[in-house]
Amino acid sequence: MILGGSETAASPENMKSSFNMEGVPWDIGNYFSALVQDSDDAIISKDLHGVILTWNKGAQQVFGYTADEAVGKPIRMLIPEERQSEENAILDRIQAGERVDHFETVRRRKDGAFIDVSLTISPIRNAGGQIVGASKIARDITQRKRESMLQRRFAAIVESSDDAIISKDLNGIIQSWNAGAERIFGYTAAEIVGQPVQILMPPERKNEETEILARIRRGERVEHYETVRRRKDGTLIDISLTISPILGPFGDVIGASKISRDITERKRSELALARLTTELNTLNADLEKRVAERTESLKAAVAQMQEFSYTVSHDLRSPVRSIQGFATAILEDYGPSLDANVRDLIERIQRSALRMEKLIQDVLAYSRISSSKIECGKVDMDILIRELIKEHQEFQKPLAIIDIKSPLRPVLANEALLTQAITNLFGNSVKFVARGKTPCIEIWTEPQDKRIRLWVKDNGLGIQPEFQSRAFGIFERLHPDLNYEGTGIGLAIVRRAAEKMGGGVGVVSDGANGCSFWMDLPPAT
Amino acid sequence: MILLVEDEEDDVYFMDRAMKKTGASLPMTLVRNGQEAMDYLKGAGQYANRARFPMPDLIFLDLKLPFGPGMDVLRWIRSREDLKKIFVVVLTGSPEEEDRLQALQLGADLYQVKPPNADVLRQIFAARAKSRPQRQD
Repeated sequence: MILGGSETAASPENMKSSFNMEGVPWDIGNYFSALVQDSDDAIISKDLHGVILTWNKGAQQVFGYTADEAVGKPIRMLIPEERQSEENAILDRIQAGERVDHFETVRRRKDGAFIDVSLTISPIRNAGGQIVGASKIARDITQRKRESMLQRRFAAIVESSDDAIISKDLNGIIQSWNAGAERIFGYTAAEIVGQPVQILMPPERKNEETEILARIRRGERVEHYETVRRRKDGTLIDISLTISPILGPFGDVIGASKISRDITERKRSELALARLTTELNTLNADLEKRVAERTESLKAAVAQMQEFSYTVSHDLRSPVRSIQGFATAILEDYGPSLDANVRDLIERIQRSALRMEKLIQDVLAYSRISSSKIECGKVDMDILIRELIKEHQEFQKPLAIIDIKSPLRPVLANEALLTQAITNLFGNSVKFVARGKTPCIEIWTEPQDKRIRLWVKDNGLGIQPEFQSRAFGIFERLHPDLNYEGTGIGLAIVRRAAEKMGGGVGVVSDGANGCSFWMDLPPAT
Repeated sequence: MILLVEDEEDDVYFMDRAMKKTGASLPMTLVRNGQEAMDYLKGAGQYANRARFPMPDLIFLDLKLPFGPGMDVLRWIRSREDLKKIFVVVLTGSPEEEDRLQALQLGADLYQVKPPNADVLRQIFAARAKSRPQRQD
């Protein structure tokens, strides 16, 4: 009991004796009684068996029981099960004449709720000085405990934060400084608390503080303000600031809390990213430019190549024509008088020159197909093929038999290209046939996966499966026997023509029983 | 009188041979390139003497010539009032349809692929006689 000394038993009677109450105009017993009764603390007395003797209003407030409910009941009803042993210890000390001061423990209210209490228990003695009971003052410290726990928790949060958390007064003087602040700025709390916050600002940013303080005084908050601060070692760091006013008990602004986040890394990443983006854009633009340039030079090279092959072919024609012309002139002018061997040699010259001319013609045709732009329209293949056969004796009876399985489906094609392609296919089929055998060709069409497939099936020599993939390559001659003449360009022209018209070509053959060539073209709608 | 515009020796030989085979002994003058052809037709420089170098009745014009293509010479001939009626045969090594169309569009009377022979020449003379009888003399 606050009024008593540690060795003094607390009873109104004792109080009277230990205080000089002379001259006090009211009855001292009533005075204490009122004081006890009106106290906010629970003031209870009990006998040495722990039975409650008195119970004030404060006790009712703290524990929930009325005096009628509590008096005569054991004090243990206020003690949680696991703390019952405390009562034995307390009673032992009381009986020994000792007092228990500010013992913080937990008690249970009538409604079952546990409350934190601070107990002060003193022995009560009778007139003979014998200990007959105990007085007990219990203060409800639940709220205080909660507050202090919260405070500790907040302090722990502040201390463990990676961010710098600083408080300052309205003059910008630093009041508190957490571990994060020490990490970020390099100053210890001891070094910096009491210093003006400007110590952290680079010279060119000192005036920022004036503005920040002005806003804080108006009660405003500053959020995610990105700026630069200086560490103790002088290095500059990028930080993001959030500053809030600290309000005093009367709601007035008394300072500011300041959370600084080190965003140097982030800024560096942003900068690196921006640099990379710029670099990437530059590279991209450069690449596009280079692709455009390369495409241009490639186009130019292709055009040059085509021009070259065209010119060369034309220039080659002239001497070949001369060779043919001179050979013909010899035969015309001196033929009858010539030896048979000489005649044969001259005829060989003529044939070679003819082959050369054909080769040049094919190379020209091939390069023309590659370079020319074509327009496609609906082509009636029945008509086209019949006309084509009429123009070529070698496709007619008795030199060859061509069987058209009419009707052929119309296709989308360029008439001139298609004519050339089919002429070459027929030419190939009638050329590569066993000696003495009449070339027979069958033609039909069938729909094939969004295309029309034209089949040209012959009774010729066939192409071995391992050579079929090369059949449409330029300068590929699959029959080395010189009796089967070819320039090696005919089927390459067929392929190039078909591709140019949006189609394709292929061949099926077992290598013995002729070939079935096919050409796919878009259907005419 | 025939003007042959030709730079290839062999082609000159074949022309000469074919010409002889026709049996017609028509005078023929040879020029080697486009510039010479234009000089001749203008009567310029070495060709100033019209008595020695008369205006031709027929021109055989090659397309591949040194110092500018035959097509340019053809275009030039057809652009001149005094020359536009001369019978011009383009005599070329190119069987290209494209070249044929261009030559005819530019005003060639005939397009003949080399080499010429006697029969071809006779047909050409006949065609010339038919189209321009007024220039026969």
